[in-house]
Amino acid sequence: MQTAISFTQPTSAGSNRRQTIMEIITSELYPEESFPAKYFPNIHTLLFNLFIEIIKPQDELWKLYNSDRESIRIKEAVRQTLNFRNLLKNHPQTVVLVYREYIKKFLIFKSAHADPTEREDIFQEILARLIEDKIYKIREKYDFNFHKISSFTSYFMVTVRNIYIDIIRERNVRPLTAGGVQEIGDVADLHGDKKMIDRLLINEELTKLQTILVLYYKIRARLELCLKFKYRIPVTRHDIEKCFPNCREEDIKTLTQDFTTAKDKRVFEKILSVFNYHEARENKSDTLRKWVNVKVDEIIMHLNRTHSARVYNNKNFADFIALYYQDGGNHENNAL
Amino acid sequence: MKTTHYEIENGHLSDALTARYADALIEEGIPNLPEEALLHVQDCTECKDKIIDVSIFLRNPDSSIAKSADRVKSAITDNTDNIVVMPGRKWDLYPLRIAAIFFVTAILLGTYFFVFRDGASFKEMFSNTGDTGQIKQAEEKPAVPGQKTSSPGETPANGAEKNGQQTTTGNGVNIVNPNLESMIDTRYRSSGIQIISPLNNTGYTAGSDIVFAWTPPVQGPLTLKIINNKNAVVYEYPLGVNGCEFVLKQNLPPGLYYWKLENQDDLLHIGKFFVKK
Repeated sequence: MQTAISFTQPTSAGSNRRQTIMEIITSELYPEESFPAKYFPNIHTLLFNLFIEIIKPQDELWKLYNSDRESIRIKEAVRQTLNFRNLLKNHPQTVVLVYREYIKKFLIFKSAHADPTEREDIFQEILARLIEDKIYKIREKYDFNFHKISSFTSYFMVTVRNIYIDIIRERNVRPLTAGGVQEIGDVADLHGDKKMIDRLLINEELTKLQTILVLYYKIRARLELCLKFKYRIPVTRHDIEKCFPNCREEDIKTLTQDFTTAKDKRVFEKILSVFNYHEARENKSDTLRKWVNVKVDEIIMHLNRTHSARVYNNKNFADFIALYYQDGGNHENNAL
Repeated sequence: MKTTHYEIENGHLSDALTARYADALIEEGIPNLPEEALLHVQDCTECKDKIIDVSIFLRNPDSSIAKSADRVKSAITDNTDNIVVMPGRKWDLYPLRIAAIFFVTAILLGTYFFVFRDGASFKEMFSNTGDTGQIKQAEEKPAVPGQKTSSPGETPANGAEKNGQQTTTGNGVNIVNPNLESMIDTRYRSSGIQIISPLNNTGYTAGSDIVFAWTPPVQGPLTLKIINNKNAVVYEYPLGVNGCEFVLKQNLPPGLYYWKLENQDDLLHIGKFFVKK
């Protein structure tokens, strides 16, 4: 269903009605807590205008709207028409417009350094594809019975990300080239000193690393233990027990040796017996060492993909891992 | 048709499941998702990327604004300075790698210029000249300022005085002449004569006699030319007919010299010797 959105001046009789409708929209249907204005700008006006466009052709409702009488029916109509589930069901294109700002921010997230014109171009392309096709698929597949409203945002953004990747692949470009972007240094002047900004940036990066490590699920403990060996970060009994719950005292002794000055090859030779024993394998030390190296490359790749240019390499990743484990590796702004 | 939560499509997590995973990372910590999905993501970089993108973005949609990669890089570098770093980990290999690359490149270039291009090896140059000094770059200029040598367009004979007179002085350096070097063995093989003396790279003391001898005797008239390493003829001797030996009472300055044996039509041989102090 096509929905034309345009601003409609309420009649003088409808001024109070407008206020009532806006109140339902802002406090009941789309409260600031769930739909903050910075991410959903003008959402209330947008929805109000949509509602007007919907009731205009309906004589009875339109008359009620323009009358001075208190009308429960109008309120019910607002609730019925504009609740998110029905909005998606009957006016999916409006949902796309509601999420405009999110899409813009996502594009900045993915290509902060891209030429703004190029970014705007991609933004328009994403909007077009959503409105033409994708939002109907979302409507078809999204199941409100299982998801909270915040999950719709996730679901929607997964689709947006898919479209973005499609566009990039089709154009065969990396929209990460030159372009005007406000450097964080400028922002820093407004909000604080370099140290504070550094801390914020690093915290964000550490949270990313934590997120990535969580995705390794069952091998996370093994991976973290090996990362510590690779980067000579002191290993604790807790680390070992997390990886090998049935570890023996001799294992703890072997794995907590001081490997500070040892070469990688030597380190993995020494720890291999414990890994082989608990994993019932007969790997060579090189296998374990190479496995860690592959995982390190993977993590670096994932981290770099969250930036518009390559930030991490093998050298500064070592520094970054040291930072990560500096405070015990607990960077849980959330429940990670 | 509604999807179930935990559907895997085309070998990857469905969008619904990806969104659920992203939500779980933000809100619940360890995702309460089916084992199958968790194991798939564990090994699938594509799904990981998708989840990372969405979860990191949704955690703070504003965080990426105005963030430059260089700024993040320097933030990490600056802030690791205060960490107690394990020896070895912080060891910076990059300068060493670059130095190693330069070193290897220099060796290869040196090998190319001194061995392959000029046709002489280091061993030859040092073992025969007694010159332990550094190898110098060949220069087409007089050893003594103002002294005449053959100009590039001048043929060796033009600069030479006939009948045993020295035309130019030796330059005293032991740098090989690429053009003459490349001719040495070629001419020897094609002429059919065997050189008895001087063998290539033989060193002679300044002022000592040099015996030029070959076999079998060659039909003349023959000419023996002594050439310095700048391709200038230093001595030129007519040898008459059927010559097979010639003794040169030389007073050549130390350096590398080439000698040519020619008949009227052909160059029969090119060899080289050194004169030492």
